[in-house]
Amino acid sequence: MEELIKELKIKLIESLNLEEMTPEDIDVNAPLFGDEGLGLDSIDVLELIVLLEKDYGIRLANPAEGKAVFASIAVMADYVAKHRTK
Amino acid sequence: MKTVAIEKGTSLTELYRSLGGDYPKFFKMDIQCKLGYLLVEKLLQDAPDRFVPRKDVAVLVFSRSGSLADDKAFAATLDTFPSPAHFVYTLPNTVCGEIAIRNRFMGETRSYVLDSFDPEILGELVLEAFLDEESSSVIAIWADAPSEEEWEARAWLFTAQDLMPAHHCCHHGEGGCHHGEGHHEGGCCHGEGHGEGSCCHGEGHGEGQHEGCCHHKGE
Repeated sequence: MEELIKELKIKLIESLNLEEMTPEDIDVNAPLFGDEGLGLDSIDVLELIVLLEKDYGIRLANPAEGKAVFASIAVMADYVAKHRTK
Repeated sequence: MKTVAIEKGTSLTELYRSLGGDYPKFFKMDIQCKLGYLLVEKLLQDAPDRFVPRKDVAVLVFSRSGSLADDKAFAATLDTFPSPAHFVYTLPNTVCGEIAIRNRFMGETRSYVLDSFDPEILGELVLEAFLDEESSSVIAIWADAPSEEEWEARAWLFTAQDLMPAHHCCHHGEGGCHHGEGHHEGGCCHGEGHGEGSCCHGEGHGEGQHEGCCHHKGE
C-alpha cells in the first residue's frame, strides 16, 4: 500500500500540474478538495477520473462517485487497490 | 497609460515566481492564460487596493491565434483519454475569465481574434469600452500564442485621464523623442516604446491625427 500511495501522489502532481508540490507535501489523510488540504476543483475531479481509467482500468460511471473515492490519498489508494484491473 | 510586455525567451515560471508566485492555478493554465495573467500582474503589481472586488475595470484581450495552442493539445488527447484540463481552455475568452477571477474584476470583459496586431482596431475598441459608464479604466492585452514556445505578449492600462482631449503625443523610439503632429483623443497603445500622449504604436512613430490610436510598424 505504501508503494501505491507514493505512486498516486506522483501521478496526482503530474496530472494536475501541482508544480510546486512534492509527494512529501501531501498528507495522505488530508481532503483533496475544498479549502482545506490540496484545494482541488471540479476539473481536477474529471482529470482524476481519467487517470483512474487510463492507469488502473477503473471506470467511474458516475462522476459523483468521485467525491467519495477522492476524499483523500489514503481513501483513493484503498479504492484503487480493491478495484484495479491493470 | 501604463505599458508592460513580456520579452521573448522569458521563462514564464520564473516570471510568475518573481511576481509573487502566490496563485498555484497558474500552472494549470494554457499558454494564453498564463500570458494574460502575467501581464496583468505586471500592470497592477503596485496598484492600491489590489483584489478588492470592482466593476469599473474592463478587460479586452486580443490575439491572432486564440486558444489554438491548447486546441491542439486537447486534440492530441482525443484518440485515447480526452483531457478535461485541456478542454476547459479551448476557448479564446477563457483568459478573460482567469484574469477576472484572479483580480476580482466584475466589469466588462471581451475577447477578440484578429488577423494580426492592429493598433487601430485595438484603440477603437478601448475607446468603445470607455463608453460603458461603469468603466473607469481599461486593460488591453495582446496575448498571442500559436504554440507554447512562440508568443507575443504586451498590455496597456488606460484610465479615463488618458482620454483627455488634445494631448500632444510624444514618442520615444530609437531616434529619441518624436512629437506627433496631431492630437490624440483616444487612449491607445505602444508596442515597444513609451508614450506620453495617449495613443498606440506598434514599433514605429506615428504622425498626423489619430482618434483613438494606433500605429504598428509604421512611420
